[in-house]
Amino acid sequence: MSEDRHPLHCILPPYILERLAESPDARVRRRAIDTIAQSAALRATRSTLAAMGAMAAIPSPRARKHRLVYDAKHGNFVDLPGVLVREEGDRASKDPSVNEAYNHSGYTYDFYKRVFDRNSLDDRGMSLVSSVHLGRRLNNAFWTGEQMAYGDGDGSLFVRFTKSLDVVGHELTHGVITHTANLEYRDEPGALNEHLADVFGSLVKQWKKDQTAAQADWLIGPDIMGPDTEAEALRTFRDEPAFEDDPLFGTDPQPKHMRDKYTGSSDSGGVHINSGIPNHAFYLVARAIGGRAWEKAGRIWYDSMLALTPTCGFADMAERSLQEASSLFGARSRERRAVRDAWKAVGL
Amino acid sequence: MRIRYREAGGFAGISRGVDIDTATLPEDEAHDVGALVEAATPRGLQREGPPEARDLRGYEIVIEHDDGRTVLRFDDATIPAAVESLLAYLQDRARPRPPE
Repeated sequence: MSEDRHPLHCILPPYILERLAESPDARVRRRAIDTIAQSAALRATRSTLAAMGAMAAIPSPRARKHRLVYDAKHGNFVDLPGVLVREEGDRASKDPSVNEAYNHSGYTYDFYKRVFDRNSLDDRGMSLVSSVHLGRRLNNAFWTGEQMAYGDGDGSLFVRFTKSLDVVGHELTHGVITHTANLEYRDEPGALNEHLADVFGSLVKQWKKDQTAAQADWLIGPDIMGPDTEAEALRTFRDEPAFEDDPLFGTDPQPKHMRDKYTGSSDSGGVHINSGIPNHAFYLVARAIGGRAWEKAGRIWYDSMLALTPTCGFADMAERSLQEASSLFGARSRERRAVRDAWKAVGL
Repeated sequence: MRIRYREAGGFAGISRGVDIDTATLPEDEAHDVGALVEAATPRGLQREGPPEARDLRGYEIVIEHDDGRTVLRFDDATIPAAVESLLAYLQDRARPRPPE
């Protein structure tokens, strides 16, 4: 890997930078990509586009799998992305966080490409940009609207957030959602956003392990739980709490039925809480259909995601998934019955 | 001085918080907390990260003191450098709480 990591600190118009980003010279390509990623002007452009429901993306040199992993070196959000430490095709790093971000984003790309013929988050081959070592002891991972960012965890509640494939799949799916349904991030649309991120995060993991719905753990985040908690995971799709009376985490707040839906204002109207309701519905569908969950249940959910609009809620998702099940498998199919029964079981 | 700390959301979706009354703390710790608060900011602030971001954790620190009430609200994208030490102190003492 080249040691030359300096972006092109000169005033180049975007179309020139994009051409340089496709240069056969790796050093030129990397510098151009760095500049694009760090360009304040592009950030402003992206913010404007995001408000319009579309999003600019860091172009991939050949519109296919292209990963960029940066080290944030414990800087803050404003310092993102940090220093480029591993690019597509580079050898493995000595840093496990870098390798996990690289490998897990690669598995997620492969999952979307092979299962749904989707070419990256925007279906146009955008680069997958990850930054590791964000902040100090940061107990979080998030999608900035442009890239993934991962904290190291505090070593007590959590370890590094790159460690779980379902976490990486979840964050990348936020990027897919932005480019498809673009669900608003509050109340039911926000919980639906979180639900879809959990579903495809879990399916990436099941696909990588080649597990059937009966074999899967249906857990989110089991590999990032810290040494000081006995909680097995952060969330479960099953009809049971992921943790209860844990000294560090308390009791899992996720409902599994509409009658228990959270109605407060915390967490943007409970986006990480109420996602438990559709999560459980998806689990019921996958278990009822059987086999590998990404093949049928996942297909129904993926096609539904493409059809949803920003203000859709749970009832819209239920209706849409019924329509997609009918289209894919027939109006009297057992797959459609499984979808109908699952939504009914969670009160929809 | 009383401090109310709450955090919610983020990938984990866990709500945690702590309420501290410096009058109940050992004198040295109360002094240190006072210094952390003074360093944090003399005024309130409300900052939100980019609207297109997902899984940002939200933080709220409410400080009630002799001169009035200071409210600090921010998220993972907007943590003010001046608040980092106070935030670390509060996070070390935070415990799980049901979502409010």
